[in-house]
Amino acid sequence: MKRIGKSAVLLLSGSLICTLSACGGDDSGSASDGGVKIGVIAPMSGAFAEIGDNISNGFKLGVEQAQADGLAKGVAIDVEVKDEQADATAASQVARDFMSDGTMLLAGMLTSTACGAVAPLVDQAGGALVTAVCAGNDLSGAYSGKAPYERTFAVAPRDSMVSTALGKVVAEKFPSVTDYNVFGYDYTWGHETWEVFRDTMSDAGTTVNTNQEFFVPLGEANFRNQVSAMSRGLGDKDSSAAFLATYGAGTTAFLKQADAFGLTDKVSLLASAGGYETVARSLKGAAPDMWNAYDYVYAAYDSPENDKFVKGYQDEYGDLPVAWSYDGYQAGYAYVAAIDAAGSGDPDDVVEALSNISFTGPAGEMKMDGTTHQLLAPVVVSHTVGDADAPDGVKVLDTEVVPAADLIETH
Amino acid sequence: MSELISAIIAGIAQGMPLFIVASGLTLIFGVLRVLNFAHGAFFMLGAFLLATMLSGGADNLAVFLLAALAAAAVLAVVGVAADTAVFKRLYGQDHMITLLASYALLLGLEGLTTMLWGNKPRSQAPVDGLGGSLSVGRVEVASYDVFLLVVGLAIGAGLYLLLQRTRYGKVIRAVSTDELMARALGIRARRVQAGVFALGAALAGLSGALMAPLLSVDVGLAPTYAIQSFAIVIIGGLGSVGGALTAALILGIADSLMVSYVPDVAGFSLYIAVALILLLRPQGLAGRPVGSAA
Repeated sequence: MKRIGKSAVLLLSGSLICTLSACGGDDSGSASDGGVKIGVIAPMSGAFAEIGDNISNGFKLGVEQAQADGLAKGVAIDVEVKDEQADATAASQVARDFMSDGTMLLAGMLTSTACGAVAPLVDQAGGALVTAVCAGNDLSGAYSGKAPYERTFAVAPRDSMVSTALGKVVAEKFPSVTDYNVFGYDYTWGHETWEVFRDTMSDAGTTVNTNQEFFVPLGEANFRNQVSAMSRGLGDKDSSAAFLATYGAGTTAFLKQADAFGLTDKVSLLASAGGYETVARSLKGAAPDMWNAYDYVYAAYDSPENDKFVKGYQDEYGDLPVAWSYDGYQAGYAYVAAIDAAGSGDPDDVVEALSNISFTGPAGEMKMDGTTHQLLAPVVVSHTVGDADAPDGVKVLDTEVVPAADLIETH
Repeated sequence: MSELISAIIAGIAQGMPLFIVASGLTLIFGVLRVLNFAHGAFFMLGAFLLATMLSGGADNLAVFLLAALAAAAVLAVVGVAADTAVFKRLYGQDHMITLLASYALLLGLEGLTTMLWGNKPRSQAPVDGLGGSLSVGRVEVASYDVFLLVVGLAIGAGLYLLLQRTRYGKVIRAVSTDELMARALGIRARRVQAGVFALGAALAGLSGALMAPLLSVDVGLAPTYAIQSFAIVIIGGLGSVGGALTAALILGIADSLMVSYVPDVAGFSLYIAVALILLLRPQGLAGRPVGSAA
């Protein structure tokens, strides 16, 4: 009896986990006969679930608006979302599940490790993959080289493009700020983000002194020691900057813990290259003055396509879109454009079509580079500050759009 | 010299909140022999509850403390529910079974949190009057860290008094030392165990609430603090509240010194400290050597 009780507890616990942590994701149905099914892989549970929602919501809207624009007209496109838990192993399993069920057109994912794990599987199985947020420098052809994966295409600007854009703008606007205090995640992305920024500044003729460097494990949240040490080691305000190679909760925790030391007021420039919009919004009007480079800011574009995207997203989901929504939208739109060009959902035809697609998105004319498999999309450098009266508590002071052509040649 | 003093003070400030979280974990292990991985989820729920009660806005210290205590009280109830529904049936089982069950509970509570609060991170404003820093000479320390230091010491003292100077403390220690004998003497061991679980969960909730102004309040908090708490409990000696306090302070100071003087390896300070201490003293700072008499 006791044994049965224990088993029941474990079974109940397992069921509870699956119920509450969204095992299996959103099973929104299968493709109807003659239709095309696309499997979206995104983090739908855990700490990154908000990003997963943004990706999947943006993707669905991209498909919907592309078809409303007349692409793949009459084709029933079914989108199914599954949870990758921001984990490469889980993402691989989800990709295998999709492909073993016959869903060969895949999209999405957050981390470069997840995309890097799924891309070779898609090549082996003969599917197609359009990555959403992941933008590791080894996912598409760097330095205008050949794409490393035949059937994988990236819509988000590569990480190096984002850092380069920030470096170019900062070099121009803050030439006298030379002493950098770095706080970043201690993995490839964090280090490369800083190094590419620093090299871009140097290439532009700006002196860059690394005054202090602190790299912390991803997932850490207690930064008192780093904040205290950075605060003690700051030099003259006029020449000092704080550079954040972090995103999400790490950025929030750093800014909150730095606030007690008035750290952001002791530097002339606070800059970051990573997802920041949701952090600024979560601070409810208390976000510091920040220069940030990333894939998209809704206020950066004045065009009918952007208005349509922003309004459509607000109408459908109630929020202003963020960069992750935009990345999902771009992936969805790109897929429909490719299906339209291919005339079917056959993965071989879609892959061929993806190599040559072009469309007009919220950020203007988009074209896929057939060699690198990188969508030539611009990077937005934004200058924002918290303002309780502004939409979502964040006032956009300035935006600068850096075209892909200015970024892709150098890094 | 001021650099060294500042680093030590920052380290103490970093270690104290970790002690508050770990104190509940080590208390639960000491009495129930349960390695409760869900402790991080209790911490996370405390942060969510406080941010919800105060609507994320700044408030005076009295209101903030009341809200933090209310969050702790809710977590005490959650702790009793978890103990009754899951752990009660697993007492006396292999540690691995309870660890897996507590991990299942952690994931379940994360999912429940997402269902209740959505998946957007929340933010809690600093407490009015505790947002800045204090300077003594060239040494600067955050006002809120001084507050956490005082609260941490108060909790440490309170737990010491409870366990060593009260009748209930004697009962807890009796159940911890020999549950069977305690039962034979007429002690309602189950009730004591449930009470200890409630107290441990309340401490986790209280620490989550106290830390909310310094963090992004999201479900990612649960695993982060669970791992750090485990490290402190292991270094301090499983079941020792005093050991947990010592370990938290040593870890905080060691990390701070490494950040200040050898920043390249500072990210690994937790693991280096765990490895070194376990190498020199496998039973932890305050634990009994394996095989020694109880």
